[in-house]
Amino acid sequence: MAEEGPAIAVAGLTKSYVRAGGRADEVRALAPFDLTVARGQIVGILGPDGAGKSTLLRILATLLLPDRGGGTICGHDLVTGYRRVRRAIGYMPQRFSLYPDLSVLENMRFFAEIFGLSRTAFRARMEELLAFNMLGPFLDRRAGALSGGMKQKLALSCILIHTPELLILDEPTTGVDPVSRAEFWEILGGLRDRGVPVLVTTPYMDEAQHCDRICLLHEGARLAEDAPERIVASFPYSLAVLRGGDMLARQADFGSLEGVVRAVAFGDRLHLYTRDLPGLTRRLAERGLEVTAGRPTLEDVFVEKMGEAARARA
Amino acid sequence: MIQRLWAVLRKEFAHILRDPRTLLVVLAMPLAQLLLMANAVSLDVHSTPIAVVDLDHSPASRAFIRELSSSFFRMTEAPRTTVHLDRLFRGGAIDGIVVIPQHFERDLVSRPAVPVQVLVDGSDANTATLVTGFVNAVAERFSLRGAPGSGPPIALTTRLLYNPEGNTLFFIVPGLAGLILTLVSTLLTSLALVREKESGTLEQILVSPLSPLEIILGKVGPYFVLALADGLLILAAAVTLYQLPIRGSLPLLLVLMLPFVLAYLALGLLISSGVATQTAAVLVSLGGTMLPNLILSNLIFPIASMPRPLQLASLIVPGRYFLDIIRGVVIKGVGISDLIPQTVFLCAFSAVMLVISIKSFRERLG
Repeated sequence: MAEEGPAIAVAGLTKSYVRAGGRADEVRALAPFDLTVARGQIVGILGPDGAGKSTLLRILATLLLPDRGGGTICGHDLVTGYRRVRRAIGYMPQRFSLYPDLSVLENMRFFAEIFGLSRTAFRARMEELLAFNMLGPFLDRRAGALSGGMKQKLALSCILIHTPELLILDEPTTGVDPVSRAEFWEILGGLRDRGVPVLVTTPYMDEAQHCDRICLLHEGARLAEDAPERIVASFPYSLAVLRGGDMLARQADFGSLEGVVRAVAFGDRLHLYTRDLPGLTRRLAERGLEVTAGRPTLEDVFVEKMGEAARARA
Repeated sequence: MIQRLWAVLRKEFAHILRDPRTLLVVLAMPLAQLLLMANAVSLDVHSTPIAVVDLDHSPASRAFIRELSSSFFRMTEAPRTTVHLDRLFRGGAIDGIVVIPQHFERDLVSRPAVPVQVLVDGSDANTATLVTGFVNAVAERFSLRGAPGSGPPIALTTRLLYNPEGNTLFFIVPGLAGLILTLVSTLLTSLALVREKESGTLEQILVSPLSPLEIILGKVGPYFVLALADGLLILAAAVTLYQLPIRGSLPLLLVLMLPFVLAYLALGLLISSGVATQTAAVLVSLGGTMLPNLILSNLIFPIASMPRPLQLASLIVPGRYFLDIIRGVVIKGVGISDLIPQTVFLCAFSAVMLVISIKSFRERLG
């Protein structure tokens, strides 16, 4: 076991799917992709649905073979050492994948047994896990009858039972209420502090703040990878914010305005990216429009990088 | 290995016991099938409807009609003429018509042979054969009685061994037991893996130390017990409902049932790992087991009278061997010494199927 090496070190991973119905029509789910995850880090893969997040995680969990590329997971070869990888990691699929007809305790015991824990080891581990998952009062409840947040905590507990060297979690907070989401991230932070590296995907940009590093994924390719605050700091423009629903209809007009690089709608707000914020503010004020200076968010970075990638392809 | 296998076994038992539908399928379906099929497939002729047209109206013709109706036939209302007789067949109301000619009584005495016309519905070849056979037998009996002293040169004394009453249920029911066991075994396991694929739990347990061997054996185990319970249930039903005698050793039959059931459980798992949905699993299981075991197993159609390619194909149908076993033990009361080839085949077949299903288990998705 390579205790000192990175938890994940993969390079050149590619994966294409044949689109249903079309023979020559291949969809590239993952462009050549490199990833290194050091021990003791939470690394978040952020991207919209269809960005290739699940494909990447399934390859790293040895459930899919990459078309090309490879590397090591916890020091074991991704392709030839898949059996050892499977023992070393804890993988949580995107869908709830425990047995709904088994109780909380039965699910946990099943995973303890297939990972070879002795009875005494299981009892000790149970106490540790119950301390954070708070499922103690629900041990006899069937997993299918738990709330969304409790289901995710149970799923996490089941894959933590064998004390994995690395956690790979596919959208663990999707469809979970905000309070449970906050709790969940707290648990992940605690694990990281105990030295367990976590690779996690999420479609929620606001969850990036919980990660040590994030990787923005779009159409199977990396748009950016760094600490979240440094990614936000890399945003090259200033941000002017316009409010009001009537603004949205005029998005195209604003986009072609002098000094505006791009106009992007976020809910009821319009974000104008500019290199000359004072000038733009003045020009808009002349037209009777009030703008406020905004702090760019990860979403702004994402939109901008997507535009850059599209321009680079064109 | 033992701990992991035990974990999977216990989980599977829990799934079965907590799902009333599975239990219902396991317990009620075989009984329903046995009742339906045994009654539908019975080959005995009881009260086949025939019509007799009597153009003679003599004591002799009436005696002949009495003779006919006392055996296997049920008389329907007889037409008075021979015009439009074929209409009677079209509605399917009768299976045969016997026409007794005019001067039947007179000709019986004066002529060497009297023609009696028998019309049968040839569209149902089975019934047609049976009807002509029975009418022939009745006519022969009638002729002999009319001319005492002039018996036939060869007097056949037929004795049906093992089944003196010629009860076709004794022939059919053990075969059905085998067929139903085949169906139930394959269906049960064909759903076992694909269900976990559909619910996503397979994706979860693949990322664990579980090996294909442990997953497959863990799945087969509980259904093995269930299928054997089904076997007992079907036999018990056959004994109570159809008075099936179990002349041989019941323990021997149960032991020989093991490899037979195992073969189909393994086939079910093979199907399960090859398909993506439960619907597909059911369709493939039905298609893959029903036809070969219905046609190529001696259940109804004798293999000996089939074309050579079909005979060869039947050699790899386990149902054929199990039918030898179950009919042998139940009806003839034979022991293991007469069933060695069948036993060897079933053991080898189930071992091969199990190995194939373990080898073809996919350890990855997609």
